[in-house]
Amino acid sequence: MIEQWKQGFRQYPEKAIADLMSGRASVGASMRRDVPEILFHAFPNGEEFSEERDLLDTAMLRWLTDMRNHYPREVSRLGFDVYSKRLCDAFRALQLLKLPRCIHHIREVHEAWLRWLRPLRIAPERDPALESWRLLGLVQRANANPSPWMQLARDPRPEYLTVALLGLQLPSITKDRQVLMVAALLHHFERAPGNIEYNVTNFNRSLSALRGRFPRGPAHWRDVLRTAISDQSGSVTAFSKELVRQLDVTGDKKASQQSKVASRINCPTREQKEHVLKLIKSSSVDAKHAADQYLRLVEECRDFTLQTGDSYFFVRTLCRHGDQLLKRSGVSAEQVQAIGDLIEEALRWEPVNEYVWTLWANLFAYTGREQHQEWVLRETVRIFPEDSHSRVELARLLMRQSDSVVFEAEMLLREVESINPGHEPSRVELSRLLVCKGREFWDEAEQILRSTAALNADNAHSRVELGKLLVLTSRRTEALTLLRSISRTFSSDQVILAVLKRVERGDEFTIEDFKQRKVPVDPVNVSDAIPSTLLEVKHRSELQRRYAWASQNKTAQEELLKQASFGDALAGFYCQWLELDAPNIPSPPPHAWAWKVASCIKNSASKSEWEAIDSSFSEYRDVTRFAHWLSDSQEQDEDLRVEVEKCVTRLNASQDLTVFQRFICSTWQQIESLDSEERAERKEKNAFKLLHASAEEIAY
Amino acid sequence: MLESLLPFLDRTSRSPCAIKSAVADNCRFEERTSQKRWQNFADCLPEMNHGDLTYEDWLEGSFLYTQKYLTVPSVSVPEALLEVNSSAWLKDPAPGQTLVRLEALEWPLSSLWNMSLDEFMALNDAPERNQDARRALSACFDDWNRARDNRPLFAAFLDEVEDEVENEDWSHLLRDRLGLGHYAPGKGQKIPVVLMRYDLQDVIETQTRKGLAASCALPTALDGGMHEYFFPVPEQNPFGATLHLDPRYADLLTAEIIHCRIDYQPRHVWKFGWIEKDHFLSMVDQRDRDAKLREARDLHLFQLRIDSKRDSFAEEMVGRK
Repeated sequence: MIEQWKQGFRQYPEKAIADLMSGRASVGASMRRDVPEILFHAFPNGEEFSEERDLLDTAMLRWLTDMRNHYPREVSRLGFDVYSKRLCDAFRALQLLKLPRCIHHIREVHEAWLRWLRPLRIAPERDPALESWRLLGLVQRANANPSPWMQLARDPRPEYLTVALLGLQLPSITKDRQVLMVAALLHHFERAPGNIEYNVTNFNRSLSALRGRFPRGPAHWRDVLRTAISDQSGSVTAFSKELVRQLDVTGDKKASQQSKVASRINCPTREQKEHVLKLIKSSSVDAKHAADQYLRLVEECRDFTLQTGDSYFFVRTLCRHGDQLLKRSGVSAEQVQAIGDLIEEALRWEPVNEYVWTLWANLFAYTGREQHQEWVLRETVRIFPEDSHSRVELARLLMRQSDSVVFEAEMLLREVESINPGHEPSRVELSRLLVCKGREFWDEAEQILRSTAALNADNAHSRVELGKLLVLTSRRTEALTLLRSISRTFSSDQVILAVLKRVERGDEFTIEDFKQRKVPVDPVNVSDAIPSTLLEVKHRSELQRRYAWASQNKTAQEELLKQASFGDALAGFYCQWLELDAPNIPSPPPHAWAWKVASCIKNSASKSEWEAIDSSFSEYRDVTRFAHWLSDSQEQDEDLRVEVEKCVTRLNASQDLTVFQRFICSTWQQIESLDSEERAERKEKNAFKLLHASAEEIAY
Repeated sequence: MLESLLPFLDRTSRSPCAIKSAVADNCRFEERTSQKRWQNFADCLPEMNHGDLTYEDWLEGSFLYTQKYLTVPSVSVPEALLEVNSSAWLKDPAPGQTLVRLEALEWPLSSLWNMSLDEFMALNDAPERNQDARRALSACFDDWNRARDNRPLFAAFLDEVEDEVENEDWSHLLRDRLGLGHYAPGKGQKIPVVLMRYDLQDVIETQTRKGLAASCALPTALDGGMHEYFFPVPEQNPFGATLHLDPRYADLLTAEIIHCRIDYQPRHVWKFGWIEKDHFLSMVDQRDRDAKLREARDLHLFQLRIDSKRDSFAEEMVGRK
């Protein structure tokens, strides 16, 4: 029967594949096997089948693309279970067949496809995103960057660790790769739920399994372990300390002592790093030369990361030195491009590091690419619910762009006040915004400036703006007194002196003096091409902009609903939170956590509905309970409160918290200090932030 | 059976293609499947008058049904073990019995473990004292279990197939005896297989642990029986009966059951092997194949009627008009 189907395939390959995937193909008992195995045996890897495999390659890619393009129709026809199953089958077939065109395409678009595939996870064996990773792991190029596998290893789900280890053992298993595999185990188990002793036991079991899988003498593996531990010197955790301690106790003194010695690969020394930092800061050193030195240093740190899996020094040096470098003008276009590439690489190692995101935004600001800067800032605001700096920067950018987005800027600045009360830059920006907004807001602006000045005795910014506002409101004498007073304290501050001079001269101030001005930048001709990582950031940023507009703009609502109908988890979350077109919001895909939790919150879900979320998303357990507690505005569920309190206590005792865990701890503390009226409001705002940050996974 | 499906099945059972007839027969002669299950099946067919269905529509619906209700994810329960199939449940299975099941290993070896069958066998053969190797093997099984869905598993009773299993050519003999006609690798190819052996007790314990309503059932046409090497049995038969792929042994009916998925463990592994030969009914020439298939099914039916004392059960294919 399979031969008859193949005859049809030779004529109409795409139809034949569509028929096979839908079960319509008449292949008799072969259908008792799964599609991957049917295809594997129908198209073996051999010269005589090369033409057919070529046709198959195109047809499979077409089938996958159609499944993506016709998502709403297929999901409604098949349901998520079957839709996800068919995608998994296609990826498993490609794992067996290794068809080059499909693989090339999937590599190119993987970041965008993950957005489609990730929310479709139903169970460990039905996780299309995981199967796509497995495929890419199996067909790695020589010298491929190990960062995706090290990143996957950090996922607490064991099947992700399995794929990570597979990715690290290919294309060939060298000793360096074995070191990375052990480092991957370290990364996995130091983040695993459970106490340290339990996780160390599991680490030892997994290490033993690795030894069994790749048998070598005990000295070899002792050396691998020693090297892996010593390579992680940038990020010593309680877990790694316990491992070293156990090595001591178990008598493996040699290994544990050696683990304290320097790594086999030389990361630039502290002195080298300080030397380059001095060069960067020195105005007598040409900026291009300083940038060359910086790039060389960061690349050396990156090479260390590639071989050890420890990204600490790479990311830290990139950001710390990069921050200083971007304060100087004269960095060339090629150097800017190289820094951008390194930033993207750093994000693959540490996607949730706010310093990298800040540097990226600064890099775009440096070259005047405000659009790109906005995308990055919006994503930074989303990922880091407590980051004040990115909110202020985004607000400044929006205020420069157009009056129509001032409402969004104001929202961001007011948000900072709730995250970080008394935050001087945000308060000053808010007062400027209010001045520009109109006369009826000037009283509030003045009030903010006065209270900010009172809070920040050593800061001139709020006082200068207050001085300008006093002139604007015909209180020149008071303004003069204020400005003269601060000019004595800050005698070298050119901004104060310039404003004082204008006031003394009798100049008038208008609202133009309070507007954001575009910062002049040196023209740097960088490439217009948008790298794939930034494309994803752009997509999310655009959704965020639409969300901001959706309450007043029908087109923005329609676009969000359209994206949600294609299973976009972030768009779906926005629709659910805004209750757009309720109750006709598309059904969330099975693994869109934030979308589902938003639905629970908005529909006042029962306890059993919350429990269902809890059991379906084991990796989100703490966050789900916290979101549940945040949604309990009347604080009726005492058991839940006790449970969350225990969770916060446990997290507070831990040294290595994720950004969400930090947010949980600080939000709990903040809310506990409020009275009941404020609590309800703050809880809702924080529920949004928590869900917003988790609505789309941060992995590049 | 739903009345609305009969015209299509009657028409298809008269098809000149023996495979199509066989599929239709499997449904026509099915006696254990509840109306509710047939309704679930019918709901997966294209939305049209059932009398106008084509064979391809039927296949598509059947495949969708299989994926919705049978090859379910590990967080779901297959329909065969739900109340809706209670008419086919195996009541009070005796826990002392030993089951065997053949598993193909192409995907696990290639994509999950990235090793050859020889490497996997070496790992399996490592002595108990080699703790590292045992842990590696155990990790392989953990990975495999996590990568398997919750479809019910077909299995046979060891005491019935001991002769085949003991034979040097066990993989082919067992394949033929259990009617696993889909393991026909084609010219120049081979399928790595492992024979799993476990006690029914393991199955019952899994049922208890997972709180399932049933542990075992008798296979029906809807449990992966929509193909030419399946044949339903009369309602009163205690087990399913496999169709021997070699018509010379058509009178050799072997009891088969389906049971809930169990997690495999290294101790369940019995033998490794390859299936590299096609079977008697897998030839390419359609006329030959159809003739042989009809003969094999009729011989099987003959024996089935004797065993079940139901002379009028089902209908022969040869001579059908």
